[in-house]
Amino acid sequence: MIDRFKEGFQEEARELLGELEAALLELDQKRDAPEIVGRAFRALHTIKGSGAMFGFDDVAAFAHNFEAVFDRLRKGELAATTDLINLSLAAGDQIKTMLDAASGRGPADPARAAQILAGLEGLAGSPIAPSSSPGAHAGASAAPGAVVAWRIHFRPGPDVILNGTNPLLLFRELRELGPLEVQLDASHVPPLGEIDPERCYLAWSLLLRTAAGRVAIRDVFIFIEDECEIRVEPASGELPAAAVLPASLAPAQLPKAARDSGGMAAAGAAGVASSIRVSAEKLDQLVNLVGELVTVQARLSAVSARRDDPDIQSISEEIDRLTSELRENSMSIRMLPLRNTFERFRRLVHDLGMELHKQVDLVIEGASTELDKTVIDQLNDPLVHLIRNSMDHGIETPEARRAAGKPATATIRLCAQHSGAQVLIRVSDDGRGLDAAAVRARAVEQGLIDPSAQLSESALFSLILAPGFSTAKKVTDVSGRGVGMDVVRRSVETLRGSIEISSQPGAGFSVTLRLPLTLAIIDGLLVRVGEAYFVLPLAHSLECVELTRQDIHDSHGNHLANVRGETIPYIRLSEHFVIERPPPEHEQIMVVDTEEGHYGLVVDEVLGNHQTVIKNLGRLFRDVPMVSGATILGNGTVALILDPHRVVHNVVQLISERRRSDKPRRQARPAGPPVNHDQFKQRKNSIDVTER
Amino acid sequence: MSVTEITETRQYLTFRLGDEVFAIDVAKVREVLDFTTITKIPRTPDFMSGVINLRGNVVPVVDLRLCFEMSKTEKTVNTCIVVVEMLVDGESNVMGALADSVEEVIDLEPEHIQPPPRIGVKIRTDFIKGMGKRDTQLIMILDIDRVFSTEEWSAFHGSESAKPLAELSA
Repeated sequence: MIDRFKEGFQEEARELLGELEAALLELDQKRDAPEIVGRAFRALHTIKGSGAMFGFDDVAAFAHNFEAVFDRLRKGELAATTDLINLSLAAGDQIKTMLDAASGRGPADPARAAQILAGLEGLAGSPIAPSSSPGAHAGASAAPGAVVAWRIHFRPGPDVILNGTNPLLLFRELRELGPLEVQLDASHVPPLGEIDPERCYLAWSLLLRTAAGRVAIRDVFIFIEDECEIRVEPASGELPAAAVLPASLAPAQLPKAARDSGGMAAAGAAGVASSIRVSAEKLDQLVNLVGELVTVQARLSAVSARRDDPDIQSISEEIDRLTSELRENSMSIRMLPLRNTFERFRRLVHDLGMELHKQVDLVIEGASTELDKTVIDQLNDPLVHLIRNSMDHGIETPEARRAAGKPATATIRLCAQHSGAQVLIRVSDDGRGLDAAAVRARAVEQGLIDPSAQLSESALFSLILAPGFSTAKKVTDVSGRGVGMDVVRRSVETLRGSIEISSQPGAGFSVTLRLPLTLAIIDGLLVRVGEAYFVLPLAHSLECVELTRQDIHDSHGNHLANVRGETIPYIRLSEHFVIERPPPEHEQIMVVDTEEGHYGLVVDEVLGNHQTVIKNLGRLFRDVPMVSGATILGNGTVALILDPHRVVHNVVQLISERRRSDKPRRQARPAGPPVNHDQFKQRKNSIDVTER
Repeated sequence: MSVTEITETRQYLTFRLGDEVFAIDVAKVREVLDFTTITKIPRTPDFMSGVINLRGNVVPVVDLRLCFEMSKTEKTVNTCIVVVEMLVDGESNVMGALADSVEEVIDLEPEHIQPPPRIGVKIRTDFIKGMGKRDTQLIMILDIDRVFSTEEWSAFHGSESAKPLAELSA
């Protein structure tokens, strides 16, 4: 039981550390922002408090000493310097190590902890008093001063009781600071019939006489200040409490106060009360179950369509509607904004910038773009590599940048945006860009391309994705071994995504990752070829046109179709997949959008839209070409999900391979027929013939 | 002489491929299915028969006869799919294997199991864990994890996937 709580603490603490780190990095940009210091302080304070509660005494003690520095920063006794921020970042890491050690992953180094604390102490300019009771309130140790009367207006947000806050305990805590007078304001309590017993309608006006400062008082409310309206002000003169109260609670003032707090309370409620923590495993299970439901539902509609029973048909339609709603809903549960993933790179950029002596700003755009959790989980590695790559190879030193007439501080942009059923994630920098000639020379050297090969710029750039390929002249700690881009390529491929690279010499380099929104269920188009069923992702399908005998006759044996004025080469799936069947009367061309342009895939029949639950083909079949998964149809048969891009790529590859093996033969037969200038299409034809 | 790794009496599921009787440790067998429709995956080697729908899950099926250099499995009333669960590189995987017919579950004592002979067997001896004997029948106990280990698999891939290309350019 207690283990579960400890696990909960670990999770919470890690989240708080993330928050702390974000606040620190923000503080690095805006040095004198008290609200950011406050954020960092709150995160630390919570770690300390719950750490002590769950028996993580070393974490609590360390956080306490760490917090003491921030307390002084908060009071303005200390300025935020680069050294302080860097040391604080290291301290945050130390807490992380301690947490890891507590859960049995690697040892924590107490010497390092002491070293960091000593460093912090040195910066603070005075020893930080080690505390024997790390759980004790920071406010209690505030400097003593003259006894002052404070007026505190405290209006809790409506949901505080739901969150388990007990105002009485807060008052008790205030009493520890000094004598307290409490006056209740019940003016907001609605008529009995409208009372929701779980909401808080009360407000209090408090008069506290204490030597502790304003900060100590606010600290009492630290955990609820986001959702409550709290005003702490010195009580005017020696007026008796009763004389001041009615004025301060004048009805005219209250609505205004409520308005002021409205925005804050709403934000607090959205962040705190309306979300719950659910284990990722449970979510996966939910999506699996919904996937099965979608499959069974497809069966139900297949059966109801066969039977002429209006009752069953209406039930089936209703379930159909509910299933798709349920599907969308459960998929959206797994959608997470990219913010957390993106924000984590601020630290990477900050650290690498120090290490490489480069000044770099990380600009994040579209961080609220949402993606499936599984996709996000696998996105971290490739992004790390891309950013490292930009930092190390792309961006020049400040001196070189100035010499090139660019601002000394470089910019790395990390943006995300939706594009249909896909999300584009772009990492771009304004560094020196990619040298096309160097890439080419290196590729020839490594035997990746023929010296005489004519390559488009984007094809040339895509060579840098090959394993072991690196144009870097020296291997550094950060990158240059040519492994990184291969990792990027692999990860993106497993996510069924694609990569685009563009670069302008001297002006920058940009990599765009095109990723599917989800890995579990997609909208697809069901097509039939002979007895076999295939699903084409709807996102890649453009249109569907009839392929008539006349069209075939008109194209004189070429596999080309005229679709609204555009000449589109097509691939007959029955021939390419070697599916034997009598030639059908009608065929249809599905025009698909691939990275290599528009292509047509010829099928016997397009059956229509199909909600496709993607099933893996299993480990042993994972390397099969052209197929990205399978799905189960309403009648129980398995349909394969085609990846149009890989189908086209596969055909192109077969043709070029065939052409290569054809070459020697042609040379041996000099008296052969003249080479048709339309060689590409010719080859395509002859493949189709031999395959039959 | 007995096989060192087999020290206790275990149960085995026996099945036929052609005239030969093979056995798999029942602990590895999940179930035995009647032959159902197998969806072939285009442009894959012949021994990869395709995938089936096993109660909502997609399970790959291989033709063991082709793995053991026999002729392709012909569908008869007795043809079955033996669904096995095995470890591939430490991961659990479910796969179906085609069998001409499934016989029975038998007990085999360790002293009735001999190590495979190095020559004289038609299939590769490293796929065989041991040779069991029951009455006069010789039973080859398969090391199913080994048959589908990644190395063997990529070897299959290498040799087989080259074939369609070769045919193309012929």
